[in-house]
Amino acid sequence: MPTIPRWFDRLGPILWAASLALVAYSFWLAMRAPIEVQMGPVQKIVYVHVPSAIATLIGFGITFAASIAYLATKEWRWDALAASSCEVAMVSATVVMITGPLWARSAWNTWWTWEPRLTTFLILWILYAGYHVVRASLRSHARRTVSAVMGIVFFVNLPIVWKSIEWWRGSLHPKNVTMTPEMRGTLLVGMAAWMLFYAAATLQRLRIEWRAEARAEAGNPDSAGAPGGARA
Amino acid sequence: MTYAVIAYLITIALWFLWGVATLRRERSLRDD
Repeated sequence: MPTIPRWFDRLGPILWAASLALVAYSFWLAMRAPIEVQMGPVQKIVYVHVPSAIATLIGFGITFAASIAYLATKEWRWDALAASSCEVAMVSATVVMITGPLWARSAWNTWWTWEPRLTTFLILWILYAGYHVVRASLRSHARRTVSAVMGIVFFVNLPIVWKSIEWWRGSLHPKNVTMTPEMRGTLLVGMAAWMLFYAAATLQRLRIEWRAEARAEAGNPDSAGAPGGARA
Repeated sequence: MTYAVIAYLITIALWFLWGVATLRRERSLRDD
């Protein structure tokens, strides 16, 4: 029966403490960062919006890699990593989807516009929301294989999101941003903080997969890969 | 300033809710 590795118990609290401290520090830096001349204080949204977007892309990238590894090895741990990373990235993507319009209202005088980056990111969000809906509706091994296929196919949209501001005209997202060294430092700390937070959250989410697998091996095969309320 | 504060509060709230849900899911699997 799979038991949660001991290093999870050791590393988890350290990661949580470090990431929460760094996130709090990045909020404090954001509060003290210089106020941008044109946009005013609302520009400070960038210190949580951009790091969350990067964490989203990395999270879905890890889902992609783990999905390939699962199909190649059929080892449940890869499926567990893919699903865990995907869920954490989904929350990050939701943060991006909420903070973006708050920024847009001030910067572009509209909550939403169908410009390339926004449109492709919305498609990304819908695709990965579909990943979770489909995964929750399937059982055991079919769940894992179908999830892995989705994790690979949906990844195609990531480079499109990344390159959208170059490939299409009419993008409101800037290609280059001029920042003071203080602003850039705040953004870098924010990125480090949310990367660490992503790692802590994914490790935490993996514990559910471990318990579900242990439960399945103990005599409830339907619960394999079906953590929480999703078990059939 | 209001929008920036709202953005940060929503970020904290979302992650807090996810954290609570995740801990509850793990506990329910452990207790079963």
